[in-house]
Amino acid sequence: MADAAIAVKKLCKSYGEVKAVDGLELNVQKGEFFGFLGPNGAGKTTTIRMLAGLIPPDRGEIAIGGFGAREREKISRLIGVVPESRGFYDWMTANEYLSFFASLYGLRSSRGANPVPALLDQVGLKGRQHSAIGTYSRGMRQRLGLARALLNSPQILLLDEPTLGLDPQGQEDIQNLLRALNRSGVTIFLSSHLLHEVSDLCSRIAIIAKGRLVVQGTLRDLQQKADLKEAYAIKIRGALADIPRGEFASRITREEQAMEVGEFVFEGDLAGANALIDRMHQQGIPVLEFRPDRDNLTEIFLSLTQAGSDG
Amino acid sequence: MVNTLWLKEIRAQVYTWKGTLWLLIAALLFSFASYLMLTDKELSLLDQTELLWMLSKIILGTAFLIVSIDASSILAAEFEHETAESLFLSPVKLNAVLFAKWLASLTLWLALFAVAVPYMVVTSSGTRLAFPFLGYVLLLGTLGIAGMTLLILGISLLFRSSKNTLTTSLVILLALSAPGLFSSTLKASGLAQIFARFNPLDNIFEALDNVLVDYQLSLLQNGRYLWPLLLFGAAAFAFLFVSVRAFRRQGYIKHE
Repeated sequence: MADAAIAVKKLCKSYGEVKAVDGLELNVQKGEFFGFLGPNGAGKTTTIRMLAGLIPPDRGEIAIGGFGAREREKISRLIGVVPESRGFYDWMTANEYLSFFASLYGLRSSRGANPVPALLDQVGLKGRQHSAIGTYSRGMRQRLGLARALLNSPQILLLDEPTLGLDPQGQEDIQNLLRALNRSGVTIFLSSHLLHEVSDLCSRIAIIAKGRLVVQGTLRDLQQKADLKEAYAIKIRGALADIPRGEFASRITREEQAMEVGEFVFEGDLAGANALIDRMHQQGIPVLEFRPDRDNLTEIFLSLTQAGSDG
Repeated sequence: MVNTLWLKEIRAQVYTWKGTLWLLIAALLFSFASYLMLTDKELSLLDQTELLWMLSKIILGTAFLIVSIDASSILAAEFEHETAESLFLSPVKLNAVLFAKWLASLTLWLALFAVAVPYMVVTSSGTRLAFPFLGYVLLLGTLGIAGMTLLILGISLLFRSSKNTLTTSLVILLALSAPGLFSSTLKASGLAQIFARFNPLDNIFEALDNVLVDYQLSLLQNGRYLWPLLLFGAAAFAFLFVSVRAFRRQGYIKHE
């Protein structure tokens, strides 16, 4: 618990008769990129709000960066949050908005450099910094929300659907930014409906259903728990017919050929996938992409949340 | 931090088309009232001090109404427009937010008072009451509106909805101004007397009557009207304190 950025024990929160969070246990290590998955109404937003000190838990313990759930003001200096609600002061410009929050963090009165221009540049809003937020698209608001969350150079980032409403390029930009932040040591707690986003970015994943933790671990742990085989998506340049299948033939599925690019799923463990890739390299077949199979996580998610709901 | 929040409120509530519209409406109303008082034959038969007392009632009545309407949304809008979550994710203290919003409401009152000053100066010309008139309207208005806005902020914290807060605030304002509609027999009843003793609006207008009509100009001579206003402010503050505790128990963000 000492090295944990976020530690949650037996956390409970009810709204009337409805148990939004029911005995939740989480442990996120410092510097980790942690995925938080669950169906609608599973209690993800309530959990994030409790972590941020916005909602008091009914029972249980929260330690975020060493502070308890009731120490909102101390927690807020340590964390950055992209919340689910998308409320902005529409009459302000992005520059004014971030400057306002910078003042609340005491960043404008200090002698340090003004962080606002760099942040606007970082999230790709530099060209629109003097436009009223009311004129912004959903994606631009999302970027602005992320910039606000980064104002205080947080040690821990809590993100509730941070790429919702962004176009593919925007999603890619934000994901790259999050990767860079994580590499620099920022602990990231990502709640998302986009399963591929979670599987691409996160080193560990927790799945909750009906406020209860269903499973927590690496993608491989989740696969074992769901009793599903490991699977990896592989993209190559060339014809799928040229793949040296050999003993792997039965494990190659879902083949798709589009012009010069072929894509298939290898059902097997990482060692098997690496062996196949080595063989393709020897035959001069360039591998363009290699990643855990996104559809595999979908299957895990459906399998585990269904099991969690039934249980 | 309070300064940053206060400036934001001034920009959002006062320095906008809505704030300008309030001031314009007030100016039109004061112009109309002053014009009538100075030109209408029947009204001009009244003693000038009676006219000043009537004008002070119009100014303070208008200010109470406008500031109450504005204060009803100044906090509740943060919840309705979902900006409260971002605000409370920053290290801002709830007390600082409430204080800044309270100051912004008082600023609107001061802006309304500033609009009223020329009308008060013109209508009081020729008397030696110009300064006491201005001073007492400012003092009594500030005390009354300070209490009223504390009460409204407390209601806002409980409801988190500008519509519900506005309805409740207007009902309270109506209840406080109801004695003006009572017949003299009803006003003489024991219950009405007790209500009038503590009612801030009654005390404000009685104090102004004492100053403008009866020439009782010192604060000591008006002390009996000032302490109920201070008591009202203290009660409103106590209510806000209780509301803050209830708000914290529910959480900064309420489940929808």
